[in-house]
Amino acid sequence: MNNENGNDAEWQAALDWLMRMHDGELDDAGHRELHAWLAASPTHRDAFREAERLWTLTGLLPPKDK
Amino acid sequence: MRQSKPLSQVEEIFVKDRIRIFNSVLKILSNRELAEDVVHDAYLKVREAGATLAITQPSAYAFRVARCLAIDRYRRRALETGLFAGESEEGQGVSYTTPERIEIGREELRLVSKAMEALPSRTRRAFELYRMGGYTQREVAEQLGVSTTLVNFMIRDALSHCRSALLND
Repeated sequence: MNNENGNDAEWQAALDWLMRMHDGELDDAGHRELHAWLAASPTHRDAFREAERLWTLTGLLPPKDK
Repeated sequence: MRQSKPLSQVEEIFVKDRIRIFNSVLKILSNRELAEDVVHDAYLKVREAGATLAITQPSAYAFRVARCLAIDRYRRRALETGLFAGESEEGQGVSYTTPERIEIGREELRLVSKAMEALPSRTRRAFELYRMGGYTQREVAEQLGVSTTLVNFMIRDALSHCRSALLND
């Protein structure tokens, strides 16, 4: 379904949304845009879900000792 | 099932420091019910993480995970609230079904942890500041003395790399 480097467009778009969300950049208009993007295709929803999953998993990693 | 096993150090923090953890989460969410749910979710996740990963500072770790999950939940709610309020036509009838609680497995955690270790240290540092430190891309760029574009690239790289590790397993 995806190439090995994860460089497919939908994954990258999902990362864009995820990062905008995390940066606190999404206002109402931004949320509407994101909804429209999610509504546009099940592959968008899958990609976003996957991005959120990775986000959750990486949030559980203890930081590397400095 | 796991009742007979002794609690891991991180789990113990959740028992001993539950009120302080709850308060730090409540500060972010301003809703007691939600905060309780997030603390419970954090406990479940930390239990899996504690059984899988080496956690050297359990107290700092427990608080950080709870805080991160609270922030995620806060942002997610803003998205969902808009979902019902902003009746964009395309949005109608599309159920956006990502569960608020994302279940995680030990094997996934192990793979993602391994993948993260394989990243160049600057990439990993940038990602940690962004993900766990709660900084924006711009702030991470300032801290590391690199461009925001590079930070954006490094964060993508980190997440894509972890994703590949799960897909290719």
